[in-house]
Amino acid sequence: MIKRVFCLPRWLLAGFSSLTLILLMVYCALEGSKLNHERTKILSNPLEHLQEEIRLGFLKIGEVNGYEIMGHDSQRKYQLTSDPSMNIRKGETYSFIGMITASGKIRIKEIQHHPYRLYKYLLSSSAILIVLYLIIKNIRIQEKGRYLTVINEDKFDA
Amino acid sequence: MPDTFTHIALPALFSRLYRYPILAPLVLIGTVLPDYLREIFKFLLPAVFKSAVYPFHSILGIICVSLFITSFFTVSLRGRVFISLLTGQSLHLIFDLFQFYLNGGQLYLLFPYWETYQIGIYSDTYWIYLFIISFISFSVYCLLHFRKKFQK
Repeated sequence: MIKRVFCLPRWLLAGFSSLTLILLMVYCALEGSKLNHERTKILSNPLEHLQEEIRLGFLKIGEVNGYEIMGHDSQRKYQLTSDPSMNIRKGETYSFIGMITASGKIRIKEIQHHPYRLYKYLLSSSAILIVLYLIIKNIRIQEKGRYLTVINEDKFDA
Repeated sequence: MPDTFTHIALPALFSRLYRYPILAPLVLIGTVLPDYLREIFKFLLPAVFKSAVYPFHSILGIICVSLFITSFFTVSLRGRVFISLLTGQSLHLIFDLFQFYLNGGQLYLLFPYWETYQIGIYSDTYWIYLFIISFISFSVYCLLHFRKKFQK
C-alpha cells in the first residue's frame, strides 16, 4: 500500500506534500499571530495580569540602565527590570521567565544566556559545504534530466 | 537547536553502520533540512509571519518535506529516499529534543497540536562545547579516512 504511493505521478506527490506544508505554515502563522495579539493585550493591561508569569525567548538587549533593561525580538520591545546579580549585558541575547508588574514592566526571575549567536549562524552555515560535497559526490540526474538518482548508496565518503 | 554542523557531523561518524534500505548521503542531507528550510523561510517571510516556520520542526512537517523531495527521484528509489530523508530529519528532531530552552523552545513536535517539547539535557548556553566536540571528532574521522585512502 505504502509502496504504491511512491509510484504515483511526480506532480501529485509534489503537489500534495507542498500544499499540505503550505496549509500547515498558514495555520501556524495564524496561531502565532493570535498568541502575539494575546501577549500585546496582556502587556497593555498589566493590572489585570499582575504577578502572572511570562516567558520570553531570544530577546536582544538594546539598553541596560541600572536595573532597567530594554529588550526586543523581531516583533516588539519589552521593558524589563532585573536583579544586579544577573549581570545582563547590552547587545547579548537572552531568554527570560518574568513576572508582570503594575507598571507594565516585566520583573525578571530567571535568565538563560544565548552566547555567540552570530558565530552559531556562521558555523551552522559551514555545514552547507558538507551538504554540497554529498550532493556533488552522490546525486546524479538521470533519464534525460527528468529524475534524480543516488550513487554510493551505502556510504557518504566513498 | 545544536548548531547545524553538529547535526550533520555526529550522524556522519556512524554512516558506515547504515544498512539497506537507508541511503547514507540522504540521511546526512536530511539532518540539516529542518534548520536550513526554517532559516530560508524566515528570511523570505515578513517578521509577523515568523511562526510560520515551526512546521519544519514537527513530525507532520518532516513527512511532507521528505515526500516533496522524494518526488524528484526515480520511481525505483523513492521508497528508500523517503525513509532516508525521514531518518535524517528525525535524528535532527531527536538532537533538538535534548536541548534546554528556558522559554520552552520552538519544537512543536506534534503540530498542529500546539505544544512544545524538550527533554532538556544540555542548555543552549553551552552550544559551543558541543560544536568543538563534534568538530574535533569529525576532523579526526576525516583525517583517518583520507589516510587510509592514500595508503591504498
